[in-house]
Amino acid sequence: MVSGNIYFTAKLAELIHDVKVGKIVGSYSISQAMLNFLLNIINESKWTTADELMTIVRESGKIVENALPTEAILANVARRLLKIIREEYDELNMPEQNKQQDDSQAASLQKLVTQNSENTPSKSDYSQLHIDLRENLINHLQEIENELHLSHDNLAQQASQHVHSAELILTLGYSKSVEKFLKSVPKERKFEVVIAECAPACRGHMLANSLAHSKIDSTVIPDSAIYAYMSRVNKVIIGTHSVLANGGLRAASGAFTVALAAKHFSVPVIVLVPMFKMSPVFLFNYEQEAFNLVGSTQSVLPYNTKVSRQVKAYSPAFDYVPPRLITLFISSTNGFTPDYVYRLLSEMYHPDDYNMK
Amino acid sequence: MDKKEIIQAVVMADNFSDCFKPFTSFNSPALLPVVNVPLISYVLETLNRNGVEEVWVVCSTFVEKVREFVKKGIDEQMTWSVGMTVQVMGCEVRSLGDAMRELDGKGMLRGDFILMNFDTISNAKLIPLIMKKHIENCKTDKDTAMTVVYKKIMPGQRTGNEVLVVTNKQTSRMLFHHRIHSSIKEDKFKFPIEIFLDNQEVEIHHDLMDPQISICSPNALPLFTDNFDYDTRDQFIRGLVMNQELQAASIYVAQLANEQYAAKVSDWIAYDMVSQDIINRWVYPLVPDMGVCLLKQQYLFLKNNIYRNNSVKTERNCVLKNDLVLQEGCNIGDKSVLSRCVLGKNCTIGKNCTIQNTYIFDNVTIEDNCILKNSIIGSNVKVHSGCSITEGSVVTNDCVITTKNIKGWLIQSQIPEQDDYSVDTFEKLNDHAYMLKEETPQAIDSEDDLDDENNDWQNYIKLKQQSPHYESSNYSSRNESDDEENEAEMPQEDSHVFFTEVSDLLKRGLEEKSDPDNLILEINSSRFANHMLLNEVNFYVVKSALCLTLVQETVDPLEGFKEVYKHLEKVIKNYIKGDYAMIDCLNAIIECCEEYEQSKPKLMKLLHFLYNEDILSEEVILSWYEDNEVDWIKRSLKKFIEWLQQESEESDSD
Repeated sequence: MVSGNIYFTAKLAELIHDVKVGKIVGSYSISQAMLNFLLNIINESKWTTADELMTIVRESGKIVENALPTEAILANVARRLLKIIREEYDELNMPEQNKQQDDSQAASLQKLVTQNSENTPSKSDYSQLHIDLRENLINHLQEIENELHLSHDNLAQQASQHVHSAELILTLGYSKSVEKFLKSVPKERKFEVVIAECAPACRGHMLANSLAHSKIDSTVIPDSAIYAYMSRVNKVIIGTHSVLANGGLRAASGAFTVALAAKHFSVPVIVLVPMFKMSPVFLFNYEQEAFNLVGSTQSVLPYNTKVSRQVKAYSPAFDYVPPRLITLFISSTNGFTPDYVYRLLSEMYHPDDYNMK
Repeated sequence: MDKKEIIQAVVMADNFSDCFKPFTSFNSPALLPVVNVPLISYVLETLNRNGVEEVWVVCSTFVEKVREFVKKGIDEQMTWSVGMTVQVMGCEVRSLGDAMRELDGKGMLRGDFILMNFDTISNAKLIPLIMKKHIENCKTDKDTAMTVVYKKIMPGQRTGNEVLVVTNKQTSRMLFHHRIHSSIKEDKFKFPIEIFLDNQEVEIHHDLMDPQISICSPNALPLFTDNFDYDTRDQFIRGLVMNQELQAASIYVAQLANEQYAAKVSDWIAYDMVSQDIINRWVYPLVPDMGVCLLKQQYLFLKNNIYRNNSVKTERNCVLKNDLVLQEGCNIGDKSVLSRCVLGKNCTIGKNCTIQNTYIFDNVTIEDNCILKNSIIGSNVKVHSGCSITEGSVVTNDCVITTKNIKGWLIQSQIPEQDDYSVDTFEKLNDHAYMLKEETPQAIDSEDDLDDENNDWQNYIKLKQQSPHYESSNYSSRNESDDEENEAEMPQEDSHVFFTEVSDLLKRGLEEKSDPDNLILEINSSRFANHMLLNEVNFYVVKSALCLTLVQETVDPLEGFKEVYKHLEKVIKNYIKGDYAMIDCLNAIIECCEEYEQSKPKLMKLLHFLYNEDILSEEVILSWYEDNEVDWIKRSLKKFIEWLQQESEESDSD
């Protein structure tokens, strides 16, 4: 790391510690905390060129990824920032006439195509000095922060397009996005929710409680009843921990059961993803580093039993759901299919930043 | 400066015992690695996760090493250093009591504080519930000195950490404390009678384990200062509980929630158990792949509980069975088989080795064809090819092993100078290995030896051979199987004892013509002593009354019983009240008749007599007769029943 940044490592250690200890919970708060940390770096650390700043950000991303490999969101925020730095730098470096053409969002596909031919020189080394860069970045990050802030609301706005009257919707465990989404369905539409409790944490009970307060009919079922219920269900709407680069999910354990049952009965599976949950990571092996997180054995087998030392019990936190089982992703702006995930990833992050290590 | 109350904690970094010898001759026991993490890190991590902000580590031996460790930890930003200050206090103390007196003198602890030992491994969440409860107790009871935290375990284990505790049910105030001895089986405990007289409801816990966690009030420290004979926490607790009136200090008991783990690494067996618990993820989140106190993750978690660093190199034919932790830079040779073991940094294992249930620290080299079982190998050890180290051997740092067959030996690389060991206690194996000779343990059965705590070898417990049924083979099986047998036999045994007691009582009562009220009293006390249910009492009282005459074969059963009844009328009437008791009475009569053939013909007369005496009612006899299906009873009672039915019809018609 660039010298004089011990202060930031300490800050970062604190952030990681807070996430580990459980002071910061939930993907939204985690990404918010990471964004604040990175804003701090831009504001206060002594960088002069884009290159220097990128090194710092990349280093932080690396540390975070090593410390908390399961919280992909942290690294994603860092990746997103790297991409923004690149964009801002390119913009400042670009000749005037190109700028106008580049401004429009619609041209992004064209940009992708032409990037390799015309703009290659600007890709170079990011070492040129730009006084405006800091300010531009802060402005841009403000946008990102807003986007993050509104991500749940934007998602929820689309609820009326997906949930209709007299539908039976199945969900799993507790997800903030799903909670908000279901609550934003227009009041006059009467629909029912079936919640698989998602043992052993049984966070499904929390969701049922919260929905009941908003007067939405909800039924909690044990995870074993998912298949039995599925034939009556119209739609499955679940949240996820993160989306992998191939469009597969790393979701709460039980999600695979839900998706398979839904496939069997041809029930559409809709997954709600705020943008930061998209990670440019592939699952290539179930024993891959930190794909899964195995929790306390106590939650599946009591310690004070005679057999507890002679058997092996595992309580995995996540399931991998292959992309073929997912019908639709809904993000902050629109819906898309698993096949489209790669495209969104290349828009959100720079390919060079996929691998932070 | 600190308006806001911060939570403080004291960690004792010495256990003042030799249970980890010979490691403790060269290093602080607090730095002994458990699953490649020094023991004290677990405590610091637990405290940190509980939101403690200031920790005092008190140690008397190897202060510099502990201090160095803490400093290094802070520099490297180990997770416990975030938001928590750790200070090492080196002082010449010989016990916990000394340390507490020292702390009291310095006056650095302001409010309630957590007191823990370095050898506790726990994922307990103390703050929300237990700490709150403690503070509430302090408000209602100004004399609260300490809340002791226990963990519920399966009863019947004896590792020396189990306690028998009596508490007041409402307040959970401790009334009695007894540490269960690890080597003698105690089947009787004496409780002072005041416990039961002074408290409405008491709870007796025999399934608690003491992980050495407690929350102390500010007034605990002066108590230590005032009573300088309190050395250990046990003495402190016992002292306060015994002399409650004198000291005006009370101790409360709290239990950890079921899902929270706590254990004490008190000897090598506990070391093994706790290590395996960590590997089996009972102590989550303090598990190897979560990075116990580092900002990065060191292991991949693979199936069968294998934790493996990315840089580990394994040859093609080596077998990694289960429960393994392989730290950075390990190399494992061809055809080696590993199960249940932990390898530190940069260990090299040769070809064709078998390693089972062994804990190997950093930079160890083990050459080809070695067998290691149930042992502890310190760092920088070199084991030459073809050696076997088994049966709870402990090899300390920097040894070179050339001896082929090592069984349960303690080996160190040099003879420590500062210790009072004489040269004779060591046997030289080579220039870098000296064997610590075991003093022949004195006969364990003599009581004096057990009290003699200076006898290290008695307290020293080696890592034992592990069978798959580890738990049952080591501690519990003895007592548990005993318990099970007892449970199965107890009803019979007790009832037999009770029956003979009652028979004796009645016989004596009959001979001495004693007061029936006294007889009832005595029968009742015998009932409680033998845990008899009411229906059993009814049954046996009638049975023993009948048997009094039946044993004398010459006497006519009926006349004899009438004689007996004259004296015992009050006793029998006291027990045989109500329909159920009558059924018990009838059952007793039938059993007697079956035992003593000569009384069978008299059954009808007997029932008639009891009916006339209003002991039995006709409804009960009739319904009992209806349900009964035994042939001879039906036959012999037929007339009596018919007569009874007529009787009842007549009374009905009246």
